[in-house]
Amino acid sequence: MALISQQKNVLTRLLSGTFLLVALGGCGGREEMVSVSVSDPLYEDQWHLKNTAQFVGTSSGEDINVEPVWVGVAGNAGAVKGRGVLVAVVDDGLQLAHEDLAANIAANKSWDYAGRDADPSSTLLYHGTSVAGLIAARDLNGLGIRGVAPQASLAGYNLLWTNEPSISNIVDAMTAHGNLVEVDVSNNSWGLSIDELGEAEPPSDSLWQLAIEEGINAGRDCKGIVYVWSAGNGGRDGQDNSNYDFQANNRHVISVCAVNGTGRQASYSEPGANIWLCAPGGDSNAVSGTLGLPTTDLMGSEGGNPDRDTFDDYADQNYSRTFVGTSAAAPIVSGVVALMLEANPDLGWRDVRLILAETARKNDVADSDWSVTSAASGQPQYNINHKYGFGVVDAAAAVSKVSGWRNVGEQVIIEKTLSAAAAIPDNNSTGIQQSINLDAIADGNLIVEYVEVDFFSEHQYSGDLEIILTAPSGTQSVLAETHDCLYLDAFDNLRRRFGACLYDYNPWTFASARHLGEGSAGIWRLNVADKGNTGAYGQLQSWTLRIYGRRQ
Amino acid sequence: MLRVSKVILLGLGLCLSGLLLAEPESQTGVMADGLSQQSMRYFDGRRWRTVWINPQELAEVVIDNGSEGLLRSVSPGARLVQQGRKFHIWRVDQVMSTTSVITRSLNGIVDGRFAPVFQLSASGGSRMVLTGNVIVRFKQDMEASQLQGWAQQQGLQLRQKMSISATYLFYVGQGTLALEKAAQIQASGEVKFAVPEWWRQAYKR
Repeated sequence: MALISQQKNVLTRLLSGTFLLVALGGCGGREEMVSVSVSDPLYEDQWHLKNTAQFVGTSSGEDINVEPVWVGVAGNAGAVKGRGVLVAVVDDGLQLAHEDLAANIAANKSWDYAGRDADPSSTLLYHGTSVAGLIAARDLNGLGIRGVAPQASLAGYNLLWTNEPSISNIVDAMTAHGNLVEVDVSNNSWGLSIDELGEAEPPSDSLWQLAIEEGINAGRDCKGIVYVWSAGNGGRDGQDNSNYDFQANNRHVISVCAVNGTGRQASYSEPGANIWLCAPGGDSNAVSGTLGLPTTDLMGSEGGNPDRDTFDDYADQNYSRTFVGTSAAAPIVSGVVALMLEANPDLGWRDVRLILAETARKNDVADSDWSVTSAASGQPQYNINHKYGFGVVDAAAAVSKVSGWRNVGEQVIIEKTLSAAAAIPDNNSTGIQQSINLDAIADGNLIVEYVEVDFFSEHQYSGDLEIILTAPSGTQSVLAETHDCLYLDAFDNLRRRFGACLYDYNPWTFASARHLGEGSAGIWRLNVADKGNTGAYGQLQSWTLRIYGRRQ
Repeated sequence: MLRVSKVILLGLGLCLSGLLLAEPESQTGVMADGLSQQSMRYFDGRRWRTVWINPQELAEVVIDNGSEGLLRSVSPGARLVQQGRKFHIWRVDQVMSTTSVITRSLNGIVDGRFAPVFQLSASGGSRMVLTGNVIVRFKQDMEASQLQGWAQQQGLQLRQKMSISATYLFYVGQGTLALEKAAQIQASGEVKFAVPEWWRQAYKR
């Protein structure tokens, strides 16, 4: 049970009316007064946009720093709100007539896979409508809340109107239902992998991947649709990792983890070397109840508000403050990308990723997993963390960076395979090590943007394996951790699976964002150790190292 | 993964035709609860993949609001384990073989109403159900007349062009026909790939 209103510490701002921000102008130190009408009645509750420690479980400043963007303080772009940028919400629906979304709905750009028409509104399914509100609920309209990009345009594809989408509909949604040119950002707060079980469940086919590649290569006038993806909610039991999810660890998506109101890892948020960055996603615990992100809900009594488990949601049932998860974190990043693309529409999909990484804020600074990359000449050094990727998205820093940004050159891919079958000693923390040498002359010394490892092993209990990739620089990526494989019993309790995991890593593609900006040349080492159950044996068959990057 | 050599012919009467002809490496395995089940292979667009038929589960395709519950009429002990808008999955109290009471009873019910349930592991995992369609990517885009001719020759019905290049959706038929036909087209080498279309569970986060 959540008793949200009792958690409020203070209300520091007016519910409506006008307040003044003092904005420092450019180099001349000129001051200007910017009037901002605060007429979104629930804005003060949107701690992810402006965290003033207004609730129990929040810390002042642990937000995405977006206000300077709206008032034109960030960079040279002026006031930026996402105008002219179309964000597709791939989800279970989008209520086109919602009072706080309607002004931002792009006409005839949505699609309903159930009725085969352009209206994906649902009278029951609210998840997509809540996602959309976080991205682009209209600002300054006297209603509800405010999206991160409050004047961006929205389209909805209700792929998840059924929990069992066909792959042809998935392909359609990933390629923006024919709007490849017009859609700029695709938000995906869903996945085909079940969270929490710790299983690396393979795709049923390669079509999702092909569709994403189509969007990257042909979308947005060949600058590429920016795909934003929830990293996964399976972190609570400590067995899952975003790298066991073939969508969240794909090269072409921005994988988004979640932090709570104090800027620390949300209890459900999965770690992973593949994670790009985090955003606020709220959290829920027995002590302080639910701290969700205020957002839009289906109008009236349908949807997530009221919820039988939450007795203190908003009285205005067109909104809810219980939306929690990496489902909530991903649209925050989608909104920031919309702001970036308004400020500089020429950014390519790789440029967006690089700017987000470079400008992310190092959060939870005491966490022991933080380290830094070893930057190639002329490249920035990045903070990296398996829980947080490059940190928490910072809207003002990202938008400031896009002005004058020079798009990176053509992507180059290096791929090498080592096939040297070797037994992995059982219950032995040293394990085995193999290496692949990338020669600076023969292979080229790329500036690394992303790394993949296709890992072929045969092992009865793949969860026993810890797999660590070490770059020539010494930077390490933990690709897989020793963990239990779980299953849900008839009463939906998680149980440990004995004997064998459902799937070998045979093959499995792991990924890492953690070598960004490093040089590719040199020896890449792969350590594989069986640190799990005694008596479960196996061997490494082969592995392929794939470097995505650009020439120096 | 445990495997046994003992071959137990399984299959649903309504979709059994050609079940063992789809791929030469069809085999049997043992589920966690000791039940044998049959595997089939298909090409996933990049590589051949093994998929396992769950012998104790059956998908009932939802055709309209009144379509549910047919299975229960022939198997009173059937338990609903997954309810969706496209299909429901039932777990039955006996292994469905060609001779089982359930299979014999279902043979008399509307064709295409029931479909086998597949999983990517012999021991469980996400359930997958064939839609009856095959997705084919050709080596190059084809003229409409060429496409119709090719489909007719293959015994397929063109459903739609997909939004990735040179790729089309064709209807084949229910049961395991899509799996078999996709494997057959793939083996011919005349296309880039032929993949059976699946319904697979997705999760909001």
